[in-house]
Amino acid sequence: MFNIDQFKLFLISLFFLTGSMCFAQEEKSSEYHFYRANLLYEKGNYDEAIAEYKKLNEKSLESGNFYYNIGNCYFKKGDLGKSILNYEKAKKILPRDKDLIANYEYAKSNIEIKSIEPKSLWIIKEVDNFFEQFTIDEITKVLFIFYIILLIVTGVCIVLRIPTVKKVMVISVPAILVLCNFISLSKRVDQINKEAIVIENKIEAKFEPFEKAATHFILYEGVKVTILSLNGNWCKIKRIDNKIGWINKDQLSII
Amino acid sequence: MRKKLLNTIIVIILMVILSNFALSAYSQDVEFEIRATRNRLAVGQSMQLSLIYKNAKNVSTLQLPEIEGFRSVYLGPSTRMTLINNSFSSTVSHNYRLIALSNGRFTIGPFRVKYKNKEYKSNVLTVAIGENISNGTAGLSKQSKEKRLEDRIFAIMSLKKTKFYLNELVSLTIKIYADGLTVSEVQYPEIIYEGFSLGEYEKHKQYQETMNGVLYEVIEFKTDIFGVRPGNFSFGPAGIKGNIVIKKSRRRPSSGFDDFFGDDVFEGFFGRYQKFPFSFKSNAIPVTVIALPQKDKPDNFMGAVGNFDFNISADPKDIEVGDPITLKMAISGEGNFNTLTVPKQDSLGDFKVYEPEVKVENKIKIFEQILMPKTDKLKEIPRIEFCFFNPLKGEYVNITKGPIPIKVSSSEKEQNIKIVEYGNQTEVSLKNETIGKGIAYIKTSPGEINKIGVYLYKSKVTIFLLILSLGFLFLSLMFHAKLNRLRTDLKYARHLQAPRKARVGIKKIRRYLQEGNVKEFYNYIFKTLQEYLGNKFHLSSASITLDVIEEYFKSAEIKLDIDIINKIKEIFQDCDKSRYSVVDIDKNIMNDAFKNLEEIIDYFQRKKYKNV
Repeated sequence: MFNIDQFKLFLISLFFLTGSMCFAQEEKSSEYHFYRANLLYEKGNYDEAIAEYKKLNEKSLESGNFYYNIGNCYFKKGDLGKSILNYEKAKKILPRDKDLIANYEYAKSNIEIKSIEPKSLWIIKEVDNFFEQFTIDEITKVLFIFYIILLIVTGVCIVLRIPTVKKVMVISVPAILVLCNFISLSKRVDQINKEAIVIENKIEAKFEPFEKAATHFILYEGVKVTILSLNGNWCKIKRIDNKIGWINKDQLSII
Repeated sequence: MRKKLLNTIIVIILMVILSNFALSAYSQDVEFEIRATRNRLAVGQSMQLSLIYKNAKNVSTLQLPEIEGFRSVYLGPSTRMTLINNSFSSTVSHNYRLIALSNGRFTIGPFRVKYKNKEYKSNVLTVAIGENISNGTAGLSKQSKEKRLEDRIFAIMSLKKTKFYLNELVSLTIKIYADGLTVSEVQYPEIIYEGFSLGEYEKHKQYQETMNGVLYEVIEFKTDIFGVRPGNFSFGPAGIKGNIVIKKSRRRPSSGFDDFFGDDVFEGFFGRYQKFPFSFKSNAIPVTVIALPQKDKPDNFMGAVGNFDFNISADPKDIEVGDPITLKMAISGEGNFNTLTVPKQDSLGDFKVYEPEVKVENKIKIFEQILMPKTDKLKEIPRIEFCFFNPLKGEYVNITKGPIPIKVSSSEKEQNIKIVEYGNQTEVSLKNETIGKGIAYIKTSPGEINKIGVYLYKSKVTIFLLILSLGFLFLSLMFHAKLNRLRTDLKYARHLQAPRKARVGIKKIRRYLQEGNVKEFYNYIFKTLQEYLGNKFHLSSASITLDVIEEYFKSAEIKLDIDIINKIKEIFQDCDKSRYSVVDIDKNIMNDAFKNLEEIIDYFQRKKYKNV
């Protein structure tokens, strides 16, 4: 007969099994919506296709390919801002997908005013660009691996009584890698729900959160901004060139 | 005062709820019918005719046309609201008194009324007028006064067929009859149906029906059932539960009926109305479920029973490899839709096939399946067979549809777009192509699907592993440091080894004690004690005597317990005695020596000496 431990094990297994079965079921139905949406896209029914693709989000699920296809639908509709927004979302999941990069760059090339380059050191830009090629989960995995290597190297150095200079040199390599990964991960985590895309064409960023306040700078559809804070219906945003202004929160959409 | 206030609040709340119900009721379909209190009467007698409007509001009074054999008098309107199984309905009745003028059989209606620019037509009633009839009804009405409760409210359950095939859908009707009683909050009938599957109940109906000359208020529930295993069964009975609402007489006790139920449930708010719960059972029905015939049973039969039609369609038919085709398989008709499964398809090996999505609409079950051709050699979607058993004809029917021709071409579209995007890379192979601008084609597979906002860095497992690996490093380093100390620090090593070696010695001593080997016993007692004390305090084991120990503790400024000193002294003396004496030593003395040794070791193990 079952004892209590076996029964607990059975319940836990059952819990995980039903959990994974439910998820598998949701995945199946999501696939169905995906293929239906693709058919609608083929027929040129972009609005219906978008609605069908978005059914995945209604189930709190996401996929890079879904976002990519939504981006294509919006592009075909001529809605550049939302197209770039969805490409950005897809990039978070598929950062090295060549089709996506090509479409994203092409969509960005259609923005009225080209994006402004950020003001920062070239080394930081290079590091940022390098880490942009990875997802948050990938960076986490690499960070974990480097962390384990750092621990092993530190342990070995202590046990083997390596001279201090050599010890510092040997440990510093994985330590720097861990640090770089950690900084990159923190940056990326910090950006979650703070990056947004302007979805309306040519909007005025104000000095203060009032309609009658003076215009500070102009933002064009598809431009990426960072949300700093909220004040009622107003959003304090920072443009990539570090210019700060206030815009109406309906004029942008969070990535 | 407080009670009155409470009553007022309850009245207001109930009025709001009722008004909401009323609003919802008026948004339902309008029905129009006529009912009479009697269908037989004598000349000069009268009956009440009601023109009943269901789910209608503000209905104007209808000027009744001349009815042959009767003279009509308008009595006025009445409104009734019913709540059955949380389903709300309201009826407005315009009541007339019809007085019988001449003998014969007369028809009343149909009447036509206009409501919200729509015309509604009533049913027809037939009424017989004659002298004999009148006597009969009079007798009946007298009789009804003496009726028992079971005769005034009861239920009849009926099946369209009592002998039917396995999985065959059969209509079930349960009618609740009430004679002169107002019933409310009637629950769905609860049926004992082992060996059957019961469908969902349709919306209940309420009407009047004359049975054996008595006019009953009827509440009708309808659903479908089917047998899930062959054999003879008893279906039912159906349990009926609800409330009877009766107007309370001012004189108490008013009737035997009141006595039967007891008094006063809604005293206060409803005042003159009482609500009594009732429950009773309907009749049971003997049923025979016949097994489906094995003769001529096709291999592709999946359990569908009924009379169906089957159609298939595919869209689009001109596609590229990897593009999805939606294959729609629709089964329509009469029968059991619950047991319908996906029709059998011939080999779909060259297609990637996804699980179909099932939709059930009004008597149509649709299976929508996504197929993706893997090769451009495909010319058709293979034929699909649907087999069912027709219970009316008692035979299996096979419907085959398809194949559906399709045109599959190799996936060029995607390449073309990519070529345009990556002009530099493909210039070599397609030099003469015109280079344009555009976007890459949509993804043809959904890719990896994950939950939104679930990241690895947030995972408790990741955090646990990070802490665990750090802990593991610390433990490893501590272990390494200990090993290192054991290798280099002899005093520490001996100190740690002392109890372990003592345990080995004690084991041997116990054995010698059991064997009665006095010489070896004392020999090992002495050896173990010397070795333990030597290791414990980093002294030469061979030179350990009581004096050495006392001297050592004196120099370390530690006071030893007299009891322990005495025990050590005693052990050393016993050991000397055993070596040099020829007299046999009593086993009890040996036991004491063994106990003393254990106590000494235990004492020193428990004491922590700072200066040692």
